Amino acid sequence: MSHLEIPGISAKWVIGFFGLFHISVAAMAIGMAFIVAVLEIYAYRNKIRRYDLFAKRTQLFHVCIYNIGTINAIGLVFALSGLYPQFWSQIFVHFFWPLIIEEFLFFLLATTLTFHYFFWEHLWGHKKLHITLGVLLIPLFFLQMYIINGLGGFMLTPGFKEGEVSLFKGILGYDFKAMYNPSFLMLQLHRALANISYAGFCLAGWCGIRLYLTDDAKKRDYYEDCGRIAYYIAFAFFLSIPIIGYFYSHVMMKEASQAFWDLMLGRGDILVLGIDTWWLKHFLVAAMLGSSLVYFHRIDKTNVPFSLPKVMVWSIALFYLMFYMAMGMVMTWLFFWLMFIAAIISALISLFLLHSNKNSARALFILLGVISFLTVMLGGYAREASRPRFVDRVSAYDNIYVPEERSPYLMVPVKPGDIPIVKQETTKEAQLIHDRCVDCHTLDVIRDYKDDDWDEVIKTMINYGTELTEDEAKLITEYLKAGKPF
Amino acid sequence: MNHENTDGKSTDTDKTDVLINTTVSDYDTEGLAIKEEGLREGKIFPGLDADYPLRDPSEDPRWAVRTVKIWMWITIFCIVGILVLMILGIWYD
Repeated sequence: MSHLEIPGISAKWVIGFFGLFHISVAAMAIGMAFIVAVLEIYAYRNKIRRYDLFAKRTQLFHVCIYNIGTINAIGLVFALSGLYPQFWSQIFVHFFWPLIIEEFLFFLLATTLTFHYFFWEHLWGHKKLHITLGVLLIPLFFLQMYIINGLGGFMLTPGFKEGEVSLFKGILGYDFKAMYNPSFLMLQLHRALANISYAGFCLAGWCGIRLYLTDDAKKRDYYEDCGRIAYYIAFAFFLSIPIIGYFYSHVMMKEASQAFWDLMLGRGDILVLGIDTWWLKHFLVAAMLGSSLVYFHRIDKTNVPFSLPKVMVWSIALFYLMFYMAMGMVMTWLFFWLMFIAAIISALISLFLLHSNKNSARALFILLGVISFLTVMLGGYAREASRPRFVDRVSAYDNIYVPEERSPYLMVPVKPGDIPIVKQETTKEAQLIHDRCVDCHTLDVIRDYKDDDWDEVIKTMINYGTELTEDEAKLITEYLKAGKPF
Repeated sequence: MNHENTDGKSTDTDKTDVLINTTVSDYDTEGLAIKEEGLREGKIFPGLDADYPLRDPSEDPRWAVRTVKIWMWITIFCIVGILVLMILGIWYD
């Protein structure tokens, strides 16, 4: 066993709990930095007091959740280093310098965020200075996300061919190719937009709750208005997510085919209690789209100062339709139709909610806030659950850094080739398996295969496109039948 | 109380409007009393009728302005430093 086990919950779910908790809070914090800055600038330019007040109250909430998220991140690191010591030790060395910068960014962010909130009332004569401090939070948060996405992408696509770990380095503790791995860019774009969208929907949800708790007409007007602004921001950032989602899927298909097909076919850990988490996530996303179309249709008929351009709202709907069609073509058209039905059901429910609340969007705000939270949870889970376990998938990973060898090199620049790499002795057959099979799937798929019909399996693989000569196929078949290691 | 509104003109406004979400010194007993009364009566929240309360820069506490300015430049310097490191990492990896 490569890790400690926790009875009852299991080590995997301990990490899952910390990870999902962290995603829910950290994603919101990143999005809120952007929203607060936008609100404060908008309020200043138009001299609208209520938006400034909304920005300030959001920033108070932001300070609270940032602290919770940071403490949770420490818990995640503790859990990883205790439950999966070999894995964490190696990944920490592989990304030593980026993680040190990450830690420094935590310090910068905690301080800047605290200053920004607590100096709000002291700087009414220097409002631009205060706004600049708030705007600085955006690149700080972006950089923090940028670095952690390097690790996140590496867990999914650890090199430029699945099954390979990048080891292109001159400085131990930083690996350029591992950081900028194939799924890095798409993960970056997807998370950047989704975080802002998620934070906006959650803020609208908070306004919805406050709307239920007050009878004061002025307060109701305030929360309705601020919820609307948060909703606009959230929905505007919905625009590019399906486009990025499409290209993200494409990268996964090419570079992490097992994760891609696990998602498409609902295999392995994607299923929880028989429920396909990825389908459920998209079901909820389609519901958000349906609700939002109704909301914007209704907004156009009311007397609000401005709304999102119609062309933008319908473009978002069109992009989602195209995305679901593409996914329907890859998987099954049932997926497309289910999403279509989800959007329609949700639109009808939203119509009812708006009507029964006399056009107040309070119930809709809460509904969208809850759904966006669930989509982030389900998306975060499905992403990690789709890929094969990192510890098991890269068979030679233990040989990359041997703990007693790495410490002398940690602080000194070393050239490629200076680091001793212990090479496993491999047979010709094992090398063939390593070279050819990982083009499409990881080695643990072969290791976990229980039947003995290797003749059939190899033939099928050749039909699927594996490049093997007759002799090579024979060699591999005999080798696998004999149950020898690879 | 005189209050400078967004047009730069000084106007007489209700004290509660001015005090909405602005800092009142612990020694300003009159201000604190008004603020407390406003809170009790629910007048203060959330300043919907108030002007955007810009004020003369000289009214801001100097220590606060200095602290934020120093911190802002430290942060900008650090961001630039991190970006330089990331760019250097392209060649030196």
